[in-house]
Order: sequence, then C-alpha cells, then structure tokens
Amino acid sequence: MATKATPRAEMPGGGGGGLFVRNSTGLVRELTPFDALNIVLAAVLLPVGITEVMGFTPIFWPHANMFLSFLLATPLVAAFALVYLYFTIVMPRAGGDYVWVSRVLSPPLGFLSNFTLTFVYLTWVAFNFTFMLSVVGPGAAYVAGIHNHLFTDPSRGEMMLISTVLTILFGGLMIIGVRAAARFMAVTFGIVWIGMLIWFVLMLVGSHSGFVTHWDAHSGSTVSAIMAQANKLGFNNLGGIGWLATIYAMVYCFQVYVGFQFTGYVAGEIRDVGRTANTSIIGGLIISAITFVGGVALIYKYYGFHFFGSVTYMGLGGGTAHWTLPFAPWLASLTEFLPGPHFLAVFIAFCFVISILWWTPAGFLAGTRNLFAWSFDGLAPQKLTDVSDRFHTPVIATMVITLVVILLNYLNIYQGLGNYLLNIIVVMGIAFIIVSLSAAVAPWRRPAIHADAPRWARAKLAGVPAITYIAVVSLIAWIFVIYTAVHTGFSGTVGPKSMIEAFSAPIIAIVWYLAVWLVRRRGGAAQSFSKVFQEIPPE
Amino acid sequence: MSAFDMSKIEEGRRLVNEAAALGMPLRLIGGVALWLRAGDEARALFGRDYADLDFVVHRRQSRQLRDLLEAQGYQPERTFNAMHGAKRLLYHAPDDGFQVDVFLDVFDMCHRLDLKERLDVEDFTLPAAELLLTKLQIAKLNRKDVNDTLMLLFDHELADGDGPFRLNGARLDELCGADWGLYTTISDNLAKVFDMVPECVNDDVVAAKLSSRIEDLQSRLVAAPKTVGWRLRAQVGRRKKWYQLPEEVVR
Repeated sequence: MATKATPRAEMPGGGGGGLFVRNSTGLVRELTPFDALNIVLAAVLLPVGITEVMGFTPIFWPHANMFLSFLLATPLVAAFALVYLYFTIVMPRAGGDYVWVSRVLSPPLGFLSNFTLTFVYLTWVAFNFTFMLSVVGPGAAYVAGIHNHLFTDPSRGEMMLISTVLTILFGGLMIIGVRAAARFMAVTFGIVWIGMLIWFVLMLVGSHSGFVTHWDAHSGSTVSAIMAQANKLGFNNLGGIGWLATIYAMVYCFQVYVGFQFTGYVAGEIRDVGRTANTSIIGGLIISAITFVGGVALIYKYYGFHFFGSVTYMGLGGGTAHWTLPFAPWLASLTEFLPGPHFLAVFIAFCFVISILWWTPAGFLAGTRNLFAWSFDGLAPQKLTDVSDRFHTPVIATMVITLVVILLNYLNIYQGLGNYLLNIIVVMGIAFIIVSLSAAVAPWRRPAIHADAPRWARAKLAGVPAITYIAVVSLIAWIFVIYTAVHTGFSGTVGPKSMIEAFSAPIIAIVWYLAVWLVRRRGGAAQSFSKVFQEIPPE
Repeated sequence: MSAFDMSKIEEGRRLVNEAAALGMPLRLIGGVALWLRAGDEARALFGRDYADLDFVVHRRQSRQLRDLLEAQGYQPERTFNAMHGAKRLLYHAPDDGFQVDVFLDVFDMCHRLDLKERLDVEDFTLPAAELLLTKLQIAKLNRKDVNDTLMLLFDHELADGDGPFRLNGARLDELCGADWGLYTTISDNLAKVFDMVPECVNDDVVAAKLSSRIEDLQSRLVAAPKTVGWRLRAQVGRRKKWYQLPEEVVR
C-alpha cells in the first residue's frame, strides 16, 4: 500500500459510489428469498398433493383427466395468487390475510377468514401426520421391505403417540427460532426435491411396457387382471376424456395448489418482501404447476391411464373388498415398480414421508404469525407475543399452536376429522372469497395503500384497476370450488355433521370476536378497539 | 455544546449507569457513543443532534434490560420485539420523542459483527474499533456516517489495544482479515471518507491529520494477515454480492 491515500485504486476492486440517504438504521430480516420460496413449496407439498389427487380422483371421477384439470385450473389459481401477491406487497405484515381483510373490508370478516384458514392449516398439519403414518409411511415400508407393524399398520394409540411426539418436536424447533426452522426446511427441501426429480426421471425414461413386465413379475397380480377385475366390479374409465368430470376435478387442483399464499403470513420477516413475494408466490406457483402437470403426465405415461384408474379403484375405492395385494396402491407404494436400482425406489418412497416433515414448520409458522396478529390487535391475549427469556422467541404462542395441533391430532385419529377434510375446502373457499373481495375493493377502500401497489395491479381498464378484475376472477373460481364441493359431494360425506364440523371454525371465530368486542365495550374501550383496525399495524 | 440537544446523551449515559447498577453491561453504540468518546474539539467539529439511542447488551440479559426500560417508562414496540426479539429490541421513550434500538450480542446489518465478547472491555460504549466498524460496515454510507467516522478518527490513534482515544488496530485486522466482505465494504468506505475529508473539514491541519489516519488504517488493513476463507472469497470477488442491505422498518 502506498503511503499516499489513493484508496479506490489500492483497494481490491476499487471503491466508488457516492453517499446515500437513509432514514433509520434498518433491519436485516430473518427469512431469505429462498426461505420464502421454500415455505411456499412446502405448503403446496407436491408429494402429498399429487398422492391425494391421484388417489382420490379416479375413484370419484374415473373419466377425469387430471393433466387437463391442472392445466385448466392453473390460470384461475394464478388469479388467486395475484390477489395474495398484491396484498403481500402493499401490506407485508404478520398475519397476512387477517390484516388485509380487517383493514380493507371489515375487522370481523378479517378475523373470521383468517381464523378459519388458520384452523385449516393446523388441520393439515395434523392430517398430514396421520397421512404419513397411515398412507405414505406404510407405502415406503412396503417398498423398503419393512414389516414392523409400527411402519405398516400402526394402531390409533401408536399414531397418536407418534403424532404427539412429532408435534412437540416441531414446537421445540419453532421455539429455537425461525432461522432454525428455516435451516431444517432447507435440508428437507433438498432431500425431497432430489427424490421427486429422480422419481420424474425414472417415470420419464421407463416405458409402460416395462412397468407391465415389472408389475406382472413382482406385484402378485397382473396388470390385465387388475383392469379386468375393476371392470367387472363396475369401474370404467375407458371411452375418452370426461370433460365435465375433468372440470369438476379441478377442485382437487385448487385444494393442492393452496400454499403459495403462505408468504403473506410471514411477510414481516422476509427480506426485500416486494421482490421476494414475486419470486415466492409466482415462482412457487409456476414450479408447482410444472411439477403437478408434469407429474400427472408422467404417471399416466408410465402406469397408464386405464390401469392407474383401475388399480386405484381396486385398492382404494369400490374394489377394496377384492384387493388381495400386500400394499395399498398409493403413489409411494407404486414406486416399487419403477425402473432402475431398487434403492432409488426406496429413497423416493421415503421422500414422500420426509415431505411431511418438510412441510410441518410452514404450518406452524402460519399458525403462530396469525396468532401474533390477533394479539397485536387485542383479539388474543398480549401474553402470546411475550418473548421468552431463555429462547428469545414467542414461546407461549408456539406452545398454544402445539397444543392445538395435538388436539387436532386427537380429533383426526380418534374422531375422524380427516374424513371431513375435503369439506373443509368449502370453508376455506369462503375465506378466500372474502380475501378476493377485499382485493377487489381495496383500490377504493384503501386508495393510499393501493397507490403503492405494483404497476400491473394499478393498470386500469375502463377506469377499473386490474387488481379488481383479477380478484373477481379469483372470487368466481372459489365460488366454483364451493359449488363443486357441495353440488357433487365429491368427498361423499356432505351432510349436516360434516358441515357442522367444517363450519365450527368460522362459528367459533364469530363468537370469539363478539366476546372480545363485548368485553371491550363493557370496559369502555370499544372505540379504541375499532380504532385499531383503522391503522395498518407496524412491521 | 449549547447547539446540541444533550438530553439523549444524558439519557444514554443514565441508562448505562442504571444497567450497571444491576450488573448488566449495557453499552452505547452509534452517534451518541461516538460523542461520549470524543474530546471537546472533536465534539465541536463533528457533534450533531442525535435522533435516537442505540445500545448493545448480552442476549441472555434481554429480560433484565426489558424490565429496566419498562420500569423507566419506555414503551416496547410489541410487534417488532415479538418478531425480531431474538436479536433486536425496539422501545419508544416515555414521551415518544425518540426510540431506543437494542442489539442483542450481535450487530447484524450490512455485515454481521459478533459483539458479545466486547461488551465488558470499556465503560459506557463499545470499544472504538467496533464503533468504527458499525459505521464503516454500512454499504450505503450517508453524510452522517462520514461525519461520525471522522469524529472517531479525529482523536483516536491507531493502537494495538483498546482504551480511551485508542483504536484497536489488531481487532480490526482480525475481523477484516477473516471476512473478505467486511474488508471490502470497510475499504470502500474508508476511500469514500478519505475523499470527503476536504468537504467536511475546513481546517487544513485537521484535514491532514484525518487523511493521515485514514491512510494508516488502510495500510494496516491491506497488510493484515488474511485467512484461507478470506482468500477463497476474494477469488470470487465482487461478482457475488458481499453485503446485505437492511430494510427500513415501517412503524
């Protein structure tokens, strides 16, 4: 270094640049753009989503072509994604849709929709534990040749015990901190996506005739026998695409696509949220669309449309009484019949299991952040946002969510809550209609906030902002979902009991909100309570 | 000093004393810390009004500090503290006239500085080396940062240890020699500050003194031993972003 200071020339790469203006010291948020995308992809949860879609649709709509269903549903889901992208950019706050709806449309509606969605997400956490232990776990055990009943056919008590232990472990992970959860999700993301990519590649390079040979040699039955028996029992998916069934089956696409909106719930912790929301929500949707559409196409190609419908009908639908094979034909089990070395099949099958562990922190994150948002507004005790002395994280909020998930585990395992999961799409749809409606009216209800929206949302057609048109499309799409769920009864259990169970969450939300409002009113604080909702909460 | 609002400086010192009485090493950083370390001439030349108070405390003493601040009438920013309470706390003064920003063990801005081993080194403020780093690690330096840096350099001599009016060069060597990104930002900013000296200082003697100190510091950082990690990262160079940009928080 020369004695004279000519620093830019001397320092590596040179210096340069002038001075800047800054209003405050600022903050480096915890979640990176990758974390945000990871949360979205975990919430969409391709392995479980595609398992459910391909396990359920052939039974209820044999002629539905899920490849086309996904293609048709994607633009409609994109409208819904744009609604969440719009709000995430203009109001990046913990609690997402709760804050948006309560500030744009109405506080009780905001609480109702967000409470309902929180219930749905936490139900998914519980449902997915059960799904792991009763569906994908036994499937993986079959492929790996594990015969221990804990893996192949756990009792309800064992499922409850394992689910509870897992719930507590994940609660512990969240208590350690959001970075620890993000690191866990990054590792599991890597494992799951390597498995999914290998799965896709094997189905791509494998031929249907190769599969038939493999199945006939190792399954204990033959492809033609399965198809003949299913046909004999009344199953028929021949004769081309059933367009109405394909359109109705989009309801499953909506259900499994839901997840890209999770960015909104943790928006307050995401770095450069304006840019990150684009990559996580739209990027997440594009990746999900490609993998769902591509995955379904490969499944049809490798296993065959007719056979896949038949085997699903026999093993999971109306033919189960005649099913004699030692496995249920979920996708995880069917990896046994992939080409290539067997260890790859085992790895892929276990990736279906690991995917549920991958997703779980995302469910916890959404739950705790929504709880925070209620607490900040006085709809839940302030104690929920207390930072623990030991862990420096909101331990009480995390423990509340942990206890709720344990309760949902119980309801799921012992009371059959999971049987009504598909009806929950109705209440979820109502919540999303409310969010879409909020976005549609936001330019008029909150013009100052709308002014900060991205250009695509502010662009006008016939004097109406684009976001309004987009939100109306999203709203109509969710009305279609509700109509399909109720009209077709695709879950088979649309009755008073299931509907009461599904609607218990919004009913609790209404009672909860009224109770808080009455307490505040009695304490003379009703005015300050309503004033809270006129302000946008701090970040 | 009559031109300055002394209230925050006095309040900062008072809070450090209150914390010390409870056995808690609360240390000031930022503009107020630099003012406290400065001599009269530096204060006269570079002193300014300070908008808020910035502190560092041990993460394990977060509860103690929260209790202290709340007992003194400071209002917590609940949302912020719940979301970011593992590394930062934010409080508002009783009259809401200013805010108190608290870093817990770690200063995580454009670069990350682990401060927990440095809280007990000096009274009232962090050592000068860390104060300088908290200023020069800023990727988008502003006029106030330049001013504060010059204030510190005005009467802190480069040395091999800490203490009043001493800038611990060994510590700077150690941190910048282990982190290419930090080294690069600090180097860039030293260059900027060097260029700004004539603009900020009218007195030629003072300007020469400051320029000379910047040169000495630059020479020292260039000559300091570098770790393998530093050298490997240097191979990638500026093709990969080497700092993070903190965001302003809407409150």
